[in-house]
Amino acid sequence: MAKRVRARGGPATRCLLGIATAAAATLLALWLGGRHDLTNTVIGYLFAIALVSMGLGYRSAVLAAVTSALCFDYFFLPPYGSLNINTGRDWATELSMFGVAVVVSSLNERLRRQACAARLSERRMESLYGLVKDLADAHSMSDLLTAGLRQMESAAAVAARILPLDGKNGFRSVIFADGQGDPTGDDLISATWVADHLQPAGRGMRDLSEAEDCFLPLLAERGCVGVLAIRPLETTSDADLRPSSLLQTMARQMAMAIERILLSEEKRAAQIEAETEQIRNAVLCSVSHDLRTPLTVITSASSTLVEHGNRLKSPVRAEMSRLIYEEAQRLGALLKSLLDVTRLQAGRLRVNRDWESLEEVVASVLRHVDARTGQAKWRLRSYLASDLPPVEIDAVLIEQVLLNLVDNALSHAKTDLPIEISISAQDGNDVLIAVTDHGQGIRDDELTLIFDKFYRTHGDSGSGLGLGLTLAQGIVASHGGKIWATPTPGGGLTVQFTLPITGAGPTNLEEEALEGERARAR
Amino acid sequence: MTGATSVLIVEDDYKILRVFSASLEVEGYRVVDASNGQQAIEQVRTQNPDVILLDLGLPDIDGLALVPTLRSHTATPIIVVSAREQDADKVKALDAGANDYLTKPFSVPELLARIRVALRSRAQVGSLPRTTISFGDYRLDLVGRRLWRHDRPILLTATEFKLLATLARRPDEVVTTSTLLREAWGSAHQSKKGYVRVYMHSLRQKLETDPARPRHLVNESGLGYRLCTSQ
Repeated sequence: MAKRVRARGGPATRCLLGIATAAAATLLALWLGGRHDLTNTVIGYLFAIALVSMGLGYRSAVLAAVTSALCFDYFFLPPYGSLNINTGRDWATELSMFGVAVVVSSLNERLRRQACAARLSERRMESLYGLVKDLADAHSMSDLLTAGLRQMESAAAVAARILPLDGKNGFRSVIFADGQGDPTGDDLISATWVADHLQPAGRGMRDLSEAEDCFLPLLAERGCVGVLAIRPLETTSDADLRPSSLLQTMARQMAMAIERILLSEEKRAAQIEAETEQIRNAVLCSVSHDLRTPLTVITSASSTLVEHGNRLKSPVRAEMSRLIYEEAQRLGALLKSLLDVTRLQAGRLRVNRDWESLEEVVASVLRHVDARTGQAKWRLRSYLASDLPPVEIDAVLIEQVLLNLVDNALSHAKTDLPIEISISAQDGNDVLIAVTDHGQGIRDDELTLIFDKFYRTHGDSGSGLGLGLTLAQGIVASHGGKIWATPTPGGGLTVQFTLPITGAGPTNLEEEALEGERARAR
Repeated sequence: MTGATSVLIVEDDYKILRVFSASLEVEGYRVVDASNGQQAIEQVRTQNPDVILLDLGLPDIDGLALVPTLRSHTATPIIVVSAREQDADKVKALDAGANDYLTKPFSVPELLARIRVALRSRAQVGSLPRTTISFGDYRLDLVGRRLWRHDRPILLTATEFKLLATLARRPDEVVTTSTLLREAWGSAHQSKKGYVRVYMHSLRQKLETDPARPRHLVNESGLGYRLCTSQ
């Protein structure tokens, strides 16, 4: 019998195969002497037609049935070699064979269609499930968009991209499944039209049909959250240009997910806003006292100078002036730390990273401290590993961190033992920076508390606001590092922080070294 | 017009202006003032001051935009004064031709020191370009492209020399990292600030007795470098 052939190849090939199967069945029946056993011949033909309908589809099966009916008539019904049929019984055999063949074929066809539909819907479900799962897993907008696009591209043979719509700024970027870029002018025009009319447009659509892509609005409850652009990978007929219902469903899912992320981002922004407000209030309450102290000194000393300046003895006048200067400086420092922390907490601290050398940052800290405290230079020492890699940091901010740590050590470790700044590279991933003092240290339960806002150590009557370490922690975190405090062995406090080594920075070129050697040889 | 050195203060806050003028007049400077950009340009044209002290926060015009305008009128040294929030503007002002900067709040001795440096650099304007520059124990020969410590030559690579020479042409003034990059590497390398740090490190190893506390090659965080010529 004919081999079972998958429903593949062109329709013409399949029809020919159907006819050939019927012909083959005829030859086989002739060879087996089918003329003497019409019942089995008919069953043989029906079997062949059933096979054709299963393997090659309805049209081939009908063709096979017609061919079979003609061949049966011609070869097996007397008079042989003619299409004439003499008896009513032969007519019945001929017609019932043809009828059964057609019925079997259509039943088979219906089954096949159902299986096909089931397969399709299974694939749809799989794609949608994959999409929903990926969308639910995504935590950031860019993750979500790329994951969604990837699912779409694997579900249908299309290249897809999304132009997210940012409420205030319009279309700022275009996201592909493997990255992002700037939108082209054409994209912008189409996307803006789609977002304005909330209707699909582009290729295969009524509007903007000259565009190369099909643009779908991503509609969520708040309105359009973006525009999806789809381009089929294979050129197909115009009817197929419209995105499939699967893609449209996926687009709806995407829109909902985008809205979810937008909502959570807005919630976070609102939280930051509220937190900023909270900080502001806390600051106002707790700080007013600290700010008022230096202000009182300045006001009273300066008013004394204004009122009684010429009656004061010169050393007293100098003393008053010095007090004003010192307290003004202290006030300035307090305000600075307040501003810094508020900015940091509000997420408005700008981090300008560049390749910097920690050696220079430390040198700058040493210079500042030496100049300000006028202390003998031995009080502050630095131990820098010689193989320190350049790090990508904001030098101004990291210098601030170090200054805060050193200031803390200077003012709290009431000892003459030197304070040490040491820096070493740790296992190639981080640089470890430690500021060590050998003072009396702090209580174990305070080791983490000291990083809290406005926290002051037990018995601290210092002039700070308790913000220095909070600020340090924020700056270190914004660089992707960690900060923690440990007791110094033998007494005292060590505060350490890490800065990630983000990659190979610039190095002194060997060429230069060679040049130096050449010059030496000369 | 008197023979005294004149300082133009461009500052919109009257009280700050009063304090500065009082301190400067005590030191023997003649103070000319301007409270906005328009006046500043006018004063530069008519009074020809020896130093300009320019506040970046002015009412009528962005102080930053004023730097190139003033530069087009005069070669007088400009010291920009900025609040801490304007750190980025500071770099731009220096790149636009300002000679130095001061961050508010600053003390009067600081101000006087910067004015002295600026005046020294004004004294050089117009005179022949210097061929040698001395700082500390060192003598930099700009023509022979050599560096001497007392009488011993110190070997520098080409890039190290260019960096040092760029700093030395403006002694005690801050030179921004991007200026150093432009002078030593050319304008195509503006994004490679890390290289300046690397070469400055090797330069410091050769010149400084204690590279951890450099005396001459001083880093100004976020801005650039300064070659300190005094001990």
